Amino acid sequence: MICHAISAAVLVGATTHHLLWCRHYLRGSYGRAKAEQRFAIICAVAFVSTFALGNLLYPTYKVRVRAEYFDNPQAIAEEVKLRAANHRALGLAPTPTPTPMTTVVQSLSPIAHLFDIKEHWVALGCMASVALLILSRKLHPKDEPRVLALYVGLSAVQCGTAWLGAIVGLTTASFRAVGAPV
Amino acid sequence: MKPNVFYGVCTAIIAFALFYTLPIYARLPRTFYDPLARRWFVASTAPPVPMGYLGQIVWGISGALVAAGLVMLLTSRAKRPPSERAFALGAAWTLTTIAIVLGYFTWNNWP
Repeated sequence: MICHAISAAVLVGATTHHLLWCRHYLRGSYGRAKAEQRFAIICAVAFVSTFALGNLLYPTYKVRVRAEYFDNPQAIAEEVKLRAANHRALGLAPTPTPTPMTTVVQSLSPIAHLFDIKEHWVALGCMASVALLILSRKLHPKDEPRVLALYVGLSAVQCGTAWLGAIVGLTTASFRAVGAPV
Repeated sequence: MKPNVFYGVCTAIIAFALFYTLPIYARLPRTFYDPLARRWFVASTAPPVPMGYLGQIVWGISGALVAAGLVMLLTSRAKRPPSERAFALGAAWTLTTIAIVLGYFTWNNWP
C-alpha cells in the first residue's frame, strides 16, 4: 500500500509536469522537448508501476474493504455503535444516535461505486501513458507538428486519470484501508 | 518518419478502449480471480467477490496488440506520411473513443 501510494504521488507530479510542459508546444515552442521526453518516460514507468501495484492490492481490497465493509451492512452498523460507545467512554461530546442501518449503507455504497469508476479510468490512462511514450520516442510533435493534438490530448488524459485515481484512492482509504491480516 | 507509427498508436488506443469494454457490454467470457477461493476461472458473469477486472485488461491488451499489429503491417509499405486530414481524424477518433468509454463506465457505475 505504501509503495502504491509513493508511486501514485510520483505519477501525479510527473503527469502534471508533463501536461504543463506540453502547453508550450501549443505556442510552437519546443525548447523543453528533451526534458519533456524524459518526463514521458517517468510518467509511463510510474503509471505502469502504480497500476501493477494497485492490481496486486486489488484482491485484498475486494475482500477486506469491499466485501467485509462497504457491502456489509452488519459491519457498518457494528462500527457505528462501537464508535458511539467509544465517544461516550472517552467523555467526548455526545454523538447523535446511530443512523438506521439502511441509511449508513446508502452513504457508503457510493464510495465503492466511485472506486469502480476509478479502476476503469486508470486502465485507459495507463494505456494513454504507454501510447504517449511511444509517440514521444517515434513521432514527437517537434518533428511532426501535426501530431500535436493527439499528443497534448493524451497528456491531458494521462494527467486527468492520474489525478482522479489519486483522489478516489485517498477517499476510499479514508473510509477503510486494506490494513494488515488479523 | 514512419507513417505506420501514427496509425498503429491510434489503432492501439481505440482497440484497447473497445476491447476493454466489449466483455462488459456484450457479456463475453473473461478470466476471473476469486480471492477467497484463490482460484482462476473463465465465465461471463460472477458473484460480487470474484474479480473480472484482470480478464478485462487481458481483453483490452490482446485487442490492442492484434489490431495495431494488423494496421501497422497494412500501412508499413506506405511511402507518404499521413495527410493533414488523416492526422486530424486519427486524433479525433482516438480521443473521442477514450471519452466515450470513460463516459460509459462512469454512467454505469455512477453512485
